[in-house]
Amino acid sequence: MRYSHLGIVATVIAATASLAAAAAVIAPTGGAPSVAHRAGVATLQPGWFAYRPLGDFESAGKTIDAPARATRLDAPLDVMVEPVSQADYAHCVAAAACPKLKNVDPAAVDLPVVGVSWLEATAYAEWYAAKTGEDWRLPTDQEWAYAAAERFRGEPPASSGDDFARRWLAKFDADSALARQVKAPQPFGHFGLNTLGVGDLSGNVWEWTNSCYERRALEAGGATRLLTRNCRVRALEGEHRTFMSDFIRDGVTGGCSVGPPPTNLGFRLVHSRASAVARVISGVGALFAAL
Amino acid sequence: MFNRRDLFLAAGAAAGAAAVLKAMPAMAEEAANLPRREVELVAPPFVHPHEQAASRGPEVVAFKMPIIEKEHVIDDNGTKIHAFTYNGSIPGPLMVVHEGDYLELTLVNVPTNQFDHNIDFHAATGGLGGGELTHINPGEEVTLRFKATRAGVFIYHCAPAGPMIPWHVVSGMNGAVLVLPREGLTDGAGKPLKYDRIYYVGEQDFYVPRDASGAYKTYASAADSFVDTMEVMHKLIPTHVVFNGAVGALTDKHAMPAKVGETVLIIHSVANRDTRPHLIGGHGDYVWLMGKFANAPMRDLETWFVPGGSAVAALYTFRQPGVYAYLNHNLIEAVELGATAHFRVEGKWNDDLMMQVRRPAPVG
Repeated sequence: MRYSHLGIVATVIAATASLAAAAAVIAPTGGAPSVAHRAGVATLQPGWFAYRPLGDFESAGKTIDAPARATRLDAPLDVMVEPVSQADYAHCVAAAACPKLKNVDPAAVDLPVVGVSWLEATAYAEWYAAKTGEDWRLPTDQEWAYAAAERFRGEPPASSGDDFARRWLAKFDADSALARQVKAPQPFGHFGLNTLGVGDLSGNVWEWTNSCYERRALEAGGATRLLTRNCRVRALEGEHRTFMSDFIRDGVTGGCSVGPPPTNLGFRLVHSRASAVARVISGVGALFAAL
Repeated sequence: MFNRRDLFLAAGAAAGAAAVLKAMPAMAEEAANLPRREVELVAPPFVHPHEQAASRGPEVVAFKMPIIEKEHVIDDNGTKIHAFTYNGSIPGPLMVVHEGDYLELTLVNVPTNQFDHNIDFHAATGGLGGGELTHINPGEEVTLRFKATRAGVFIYHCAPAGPMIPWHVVSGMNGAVLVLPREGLTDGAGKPLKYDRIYYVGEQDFYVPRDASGAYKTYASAADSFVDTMEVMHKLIPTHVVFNGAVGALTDKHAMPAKVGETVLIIHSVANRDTRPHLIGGHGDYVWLMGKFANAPMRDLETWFVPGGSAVAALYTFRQPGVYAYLNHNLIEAVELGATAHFRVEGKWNDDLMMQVRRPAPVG
């Protein structure tokens, strides 16, 4: 387990406030020379953060909001400063490792690749990891949340008690209030850097994560019990969290769905840097969790 | 060039109309002696205040409506068309009168417009629905009066000439008239039917040309878009099918509000193509299929049909709170092309009507 949970929300505020100090290094790392336009990388240091896990939660037979947890990133994490560009993706297509997509300009080094399904994002990650010899992959939802820091929104709590219709309407109102974004992919830098030096988060590109849809029950002691996991549906993070079947390239709303769909589907990669220090910190986290 | 030809046609029609009017006997005496009431129009989905059962005798109900040509965004991606509108909205506003009333419309073609326009009321008798008497050029206005001889809901639309007719209609120029029975709505067996709210949904098909990359094209002017748009229209496959002028015009924060226990009259018009409205989670308690009130309403419908060029009235009393999607039940048109609306209904959930007996749980 990369994450340990501590069920004490009060400690989270201070931990979140110190997040800005967590980004120690923002520097391009050496990579395979055959990858022409490798993005810069931000190295995030381990730390605590407030996180509501993804998926649907229930307690005593009622739907509840996901419980907020103090959560710890245990090992330093390299995060691409920008999403994978169209030029990056075109290299993978040229290597016959990624499917060809519409609207990918091989010259567009500063535009994110969009219209990408989780399957294609994963194919790219595998190709890129093989090329660089580093274990680049899609982030988990927790890792994305940590890297997004103050840009992370997730799913806001419904906070309307347990009346089914009131919760439903509260969610309708919350989803309805989400702003629609322009469709055209914007050049890197358009949405700026967050306090950790990670760029263009929560703009008009939603990013695939590796996290599967889950349904969990909150037990009396505060632990959660997994009821269902569906890995044909993956979490997308951006201006809000959403779930999407892994083969979908473009989200569309309509019919019973409410609120704007994710404007564009793209991705960025991460890789963990396990270190002795991180393992020690991880141990402390586990100790906290055991208290 | 089409514009110039139509101006010529319009001029000819106006001269002809004047001759017809002069030749008419003075049959307008009755209307001239009736009380006259001016009504301010309201943008759909809302409807101007009106009585359901008429408390007075027949009257002349006067409306004034500018025709406004304007750029108009039709989807979330900012796709823009050069729209032609009655009163600035798509659809044009719903005009409500009672059977036996006279509907009087002053139609204004604002001077900044580029094209000539007119109006054909399906509720009217003769004169091509008034189309023959209402051709006006930019900077002109005209007043038409017709007697509402049949109770029902009827569309109106622009019908200038030739290819201008479908082009103007799919550019947004259509709306509806509600002619209520003087005694109000009934179930056909004498039981009065009343509504607490009325909403007007106008379904609209758009045909937007694409460039070589598949992106929707924009044009400097309506005239510039004409040839390409006609080419898409001839294929009969719309690029957008929407309610009230744009994808999402009646969804999310634009959802139509209601409360449990309230009865809502939904007017649904479509000027060009057929459609089949359905209320997900609800029904049509009373539906005047084909939209004419001399016929008894049908009961308890799941989906109702609206032939292109007509309007239908459906009455429903909400029994459960929550979100209702109201859509064209060709689900490709509803979800992919835009023909969806939402009702947001407040109230207390009724477990007797529905409840989740067992939550989703692993099998076994």
